[in-house]
Amino acid sequence: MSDEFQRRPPPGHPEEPDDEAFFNWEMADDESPPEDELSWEPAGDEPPDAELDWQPALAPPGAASMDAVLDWLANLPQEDGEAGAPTEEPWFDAASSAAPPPPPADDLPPWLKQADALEEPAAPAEDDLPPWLREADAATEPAPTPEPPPAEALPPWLAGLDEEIVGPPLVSDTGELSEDWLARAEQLPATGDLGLTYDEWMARQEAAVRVPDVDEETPDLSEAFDEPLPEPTPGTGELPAWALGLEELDASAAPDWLREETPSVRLPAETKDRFEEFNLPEPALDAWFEPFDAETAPPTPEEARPADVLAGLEPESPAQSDWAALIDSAQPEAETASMPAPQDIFEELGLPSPETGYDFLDQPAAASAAPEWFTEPEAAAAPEWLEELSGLDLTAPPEPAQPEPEAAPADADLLAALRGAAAPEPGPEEFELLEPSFDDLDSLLASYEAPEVRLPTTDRNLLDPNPDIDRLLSDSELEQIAARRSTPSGPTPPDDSLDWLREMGVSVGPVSAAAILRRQAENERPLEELNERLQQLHQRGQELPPPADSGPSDALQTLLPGIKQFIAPTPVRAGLPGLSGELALSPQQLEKVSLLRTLAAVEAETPRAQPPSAIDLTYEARGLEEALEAELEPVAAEAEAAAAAATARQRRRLKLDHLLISLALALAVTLPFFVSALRIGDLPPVAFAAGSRQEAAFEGLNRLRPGDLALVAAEYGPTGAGELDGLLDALLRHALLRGARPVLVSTNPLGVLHAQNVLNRLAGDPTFIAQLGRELQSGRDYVMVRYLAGSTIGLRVFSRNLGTALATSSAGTATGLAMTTAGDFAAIVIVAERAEDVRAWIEQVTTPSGKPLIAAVSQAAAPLSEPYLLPGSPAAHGGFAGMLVGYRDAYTYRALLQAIAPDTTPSLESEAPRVIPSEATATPAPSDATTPQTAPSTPAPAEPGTDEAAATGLPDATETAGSPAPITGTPEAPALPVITGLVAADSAVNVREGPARTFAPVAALQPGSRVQVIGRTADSQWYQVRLQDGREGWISAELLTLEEPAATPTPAPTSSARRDANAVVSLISDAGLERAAQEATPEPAPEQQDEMVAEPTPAQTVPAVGIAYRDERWYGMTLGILAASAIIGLGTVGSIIGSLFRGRRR
Amino acid sequence: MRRLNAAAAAAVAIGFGLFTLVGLLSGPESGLFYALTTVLLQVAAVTAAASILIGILNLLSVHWTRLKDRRKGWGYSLLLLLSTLLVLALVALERLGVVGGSPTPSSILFESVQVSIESALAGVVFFALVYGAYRMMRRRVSGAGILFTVVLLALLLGSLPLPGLGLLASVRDWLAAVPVSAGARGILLGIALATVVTGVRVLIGQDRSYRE
Repeated sequence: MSDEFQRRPPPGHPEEPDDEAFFNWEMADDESPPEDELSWEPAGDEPPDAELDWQPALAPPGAASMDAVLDWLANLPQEDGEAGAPTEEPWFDAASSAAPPPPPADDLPPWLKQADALEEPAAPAEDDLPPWLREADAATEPAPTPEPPPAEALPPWLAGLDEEIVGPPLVSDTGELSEDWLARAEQLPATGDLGLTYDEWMARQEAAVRVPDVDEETPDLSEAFDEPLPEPTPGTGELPAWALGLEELDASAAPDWLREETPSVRLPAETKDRFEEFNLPEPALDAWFEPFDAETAPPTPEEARPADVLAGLEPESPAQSDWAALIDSAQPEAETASMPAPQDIFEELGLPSPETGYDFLDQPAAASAAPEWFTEPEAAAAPEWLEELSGLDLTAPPEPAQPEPEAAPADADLLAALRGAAAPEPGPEEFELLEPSFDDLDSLLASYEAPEVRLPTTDRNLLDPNPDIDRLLSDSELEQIAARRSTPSGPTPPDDSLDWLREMGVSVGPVSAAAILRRQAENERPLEELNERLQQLHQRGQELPPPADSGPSDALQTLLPGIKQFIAPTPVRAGLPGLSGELALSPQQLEKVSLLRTLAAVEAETPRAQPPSAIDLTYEARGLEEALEAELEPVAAEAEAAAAAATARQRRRLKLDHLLISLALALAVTLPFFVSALRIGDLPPVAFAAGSRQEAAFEGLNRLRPGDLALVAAEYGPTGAGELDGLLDALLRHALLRGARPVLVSTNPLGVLHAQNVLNRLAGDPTFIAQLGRELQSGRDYVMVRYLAGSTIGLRVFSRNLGTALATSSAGTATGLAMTTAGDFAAIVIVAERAEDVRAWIEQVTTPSGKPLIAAVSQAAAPLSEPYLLPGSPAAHGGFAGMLVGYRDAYTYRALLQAIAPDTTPSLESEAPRVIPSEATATPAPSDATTPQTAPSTPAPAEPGTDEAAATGLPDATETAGSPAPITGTPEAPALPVITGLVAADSAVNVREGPARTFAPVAALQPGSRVQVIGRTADSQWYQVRLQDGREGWISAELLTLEEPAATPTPAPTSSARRDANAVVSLISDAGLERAAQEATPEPAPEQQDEMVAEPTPAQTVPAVGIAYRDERWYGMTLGILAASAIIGLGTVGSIIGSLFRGRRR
Repeated sequence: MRRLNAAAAAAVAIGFGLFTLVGLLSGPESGLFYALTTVLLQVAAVTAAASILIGILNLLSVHWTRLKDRRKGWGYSLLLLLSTLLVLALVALERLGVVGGSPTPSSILFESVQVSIESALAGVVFFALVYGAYRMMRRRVSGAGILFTVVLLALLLGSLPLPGLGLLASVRDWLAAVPVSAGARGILLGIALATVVTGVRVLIGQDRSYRE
């Protein structure tokens, strides 16, 4: 038995041994046993168990189907009287050591008797041989035991049977086929699964047991948003994987054995005339092409190995002379490296490929389904070519094939007739190769090993080793072929093929060019399914003029008509042939090419057109287009209808989904503007939490003194305006109210315009102008600096040359600013849409200057900005770095500004801006009705017991020059029976203007804060409370726990008790409160009086300005987020349920 | 000659890069180095500004050519050219004092047209994102997809100012404080390292993106 046809089973597939057995049995043994020998049983005296004992451990890998043969071989008597194996294989040695007694010679099957006779000089028993084998034996001498070739010399599909195979025994105790063994047939791939090659099936099995790696488990989130990619369209350059590289192949680069299919080289008459006209000798192109063959590098042994194997297929029968002559003539010795793969030979012979076509050999249970010529021992049932093969020694070294020049034209005609059976036969001069050519074995094998490769479409005509050309070309045959090709079920075997072939579902997937195009057309996405953009692109492509042919090709065709096909543009390079599709020429050949180019008046350096590929040739083949149209017409119509239906369904679904979701979201964000019942949720707090970065930002600006310069960068565009305009507005208001002078810059041209627009709105706000005390004027109150070009470099320049950068305003006028470094600014503020801008400002401006940065960023930029703004970060120079995020903080900031803004209308003639002293935020407010409140810079009361510290310890009363001395000591309050309430909530709670959520909040209380309860509603759902600073409001009873009345002194209220019409119960008498307030309120110092006039107005009395519809916008955002969450949640749940149902159906 | 040009370009880039680096590292104390570095930075900024002008001129040229040749979409080109001319004229008239007011006409145009349109387009992203998240599980339901959706919903719902969502708010705060912050720091570290590597590659001539 030869190892040449052994195939290495992939590891981890227990079915493989059984498959291998059949495969080896067929492919490797010349003495192919008929089916009846398969059922041969060992000697009856030997218990079956004895055979089964050694079989799993000693049988060669994949020898399960050869058990009968091996059993007998193990029992063969040898000269030394011991049972042994006829080879030196270790497993045979092992078998000899454990083998049972040899069976009697009479039990030998006839064909094995003959085999036995081959090893011994004795003549075989003629009667025992099958007739077809008897002829083979007569024609050939017994071949010596071949040496197994090196494994690396074998093609991959032929490699190895050396692996251990574990599986159930073939034969059971009863001598019948084992049930376990038969049961495993169910695990084999379904033979009816057309188009599934063996390798594909094996790949699936491997994929099923393979543990997916992490990358595969990691989802591609963008995948859910991607539309499916369109299928590769023929002619667009998107070729399937197996076709990659075919484009580079050139028909003229085909080896001679393939070129022999074309007519012999002849110069057209016009070309001859040109040569005569130029008095040139007529070149013998045949001879000119000879060096191409002779100087081709000899193949390596590895490359030549398949050719060696194929050499054994050399037919000798005159009946096979047509194909044999063609094959022989196609493989001269120097061209063995260019031999086609065995698969192609099988294709040419009209047989299914050993890779998939002999699937029946891989089906142990289907042995009875083998063809008649295979199962029956009669020679008459076997094809003639097999008779010839049976007499050959496949392992014999290949003999140099003798070319038969005289047979080439006939062979070419035959091939042309076969290939052009469905199309008009091309003339000799117009014949073009329709199949891809391979110039080296590697590329050929690479294409063969590609998983996408399907076996060729076998036709009944090709199955016939002796085709009748006349019959092929008859009209009736052509009609039958056309009818068969019009059948949509392309991959199925022909209807008139052998029954066993169809029953086995032999994979005869399309591989011909026509089949490729057919498959491409079937998979092609209808134009209507493409989106509008792609359709427009397609339309534009249609409108483009066709590309003109390149000069060299035209010139060559003009000068030498007809020669183009022989010297078609070929990638020419010097050197040895490689794996590329280029043709390597020797220096001598290059000289000839140069000479020919000179004759053809073609510039050598002129870039030539892309050589026609096999695909191009296929497309350009005459008659193919019409045949394809006729073939694809019903399929295309059906596919078009299905695609239209699918598109209609898809559009309906998309429209419905889009419509509903868009409508729901639009309603959710807009209805709160009009329907108060939909204003759900709490408004943002009116104060920042103590110690938060938001509070740090507020305090950073609250430290500004009159005349200070604050650098404000507006780094955002229109897309961030909705979120950041409010923040910039609040920051500018605060800085201006503090008397500071903002200097606005931006590295974004639109940022300058945004800042200007915000300032324009401030200038148009009468309330703000009233608070400011004068008209807002550019240059005096603020400076708008020109746009800073250069992005990061521009910031660097700005930081290093501050005086130059600030010299010119956005209006082109002089600013008059005399700054040298960014450290001269009292505060640096950036309002940014992107985190990159925050990073650039911190790196280039604030870090060199040593100034802290106050950043107001969008929600999207917050995560990447926070690391720069945390305590200890580079931006936190001086111990604090403020950060405001999004609309929520803008809302709170504005509420704080409302609380501290003056309500009196100052004199517009006032020279100096009225400022809000920072100390006022820490000063207990006098209990005067006109100036009743303190500025709640830290309005959120701290924990009990720390309220005083929070109120009086707030920033730097001692740092501000000229500021009033901080008030120390807590005013004593009379002992009144008061009721206090403890804020019992997980987070800050709002104190509202009225007893409902629809009232605006006036303050926020931290959990654990205590307030004085002064009233409640009739249903006791809301309490009226008085805060530490004297403000009053309402808080939900759910959030407040009442405590026992205490007679201990409590912080005095700072404002007169104001009876709310909503309160039905007053828990504290107004008189008592007023008295307590008067007693507790210290008289402000004279110097304090000046600044106290600018004390803020109570929040309740300040209209909400600056952010139009700020509450409605907040409610709209709240409801919109809620609707979005509901939609996403429902969609996810629906998808999961649908997936579960689909999985259950499958 | 071509190689010489490439080598010269690389030499100039490397030389000036090293020069600027030394100047920036040494600071004002280096005197001449620092002064020249400052000049180089200013040249770079001016070059960037000039490139904007060139880009504007190129844009106008392209659209003018399309308008002149009546190519497809020439109507939009006409609109762009007219808008450009209108804004230039308005700003010129404002500077000349011919037209005025507060806000200025150009500011009204910017606020009413550009900001409105761009803000509306940005708002459409909200619809697209919600629809994308809604359909995310249609094709394949995976564990990671579910995790992503759960986190997304926790972030969204945790930001709602509704009573009874304190737990979700805590989860949201934790997500923003720990995983998001960690990821953000990792990204920033990567950016910093990549910036250093790119700078070194340019200085040693490995990265010559300025060549032809």
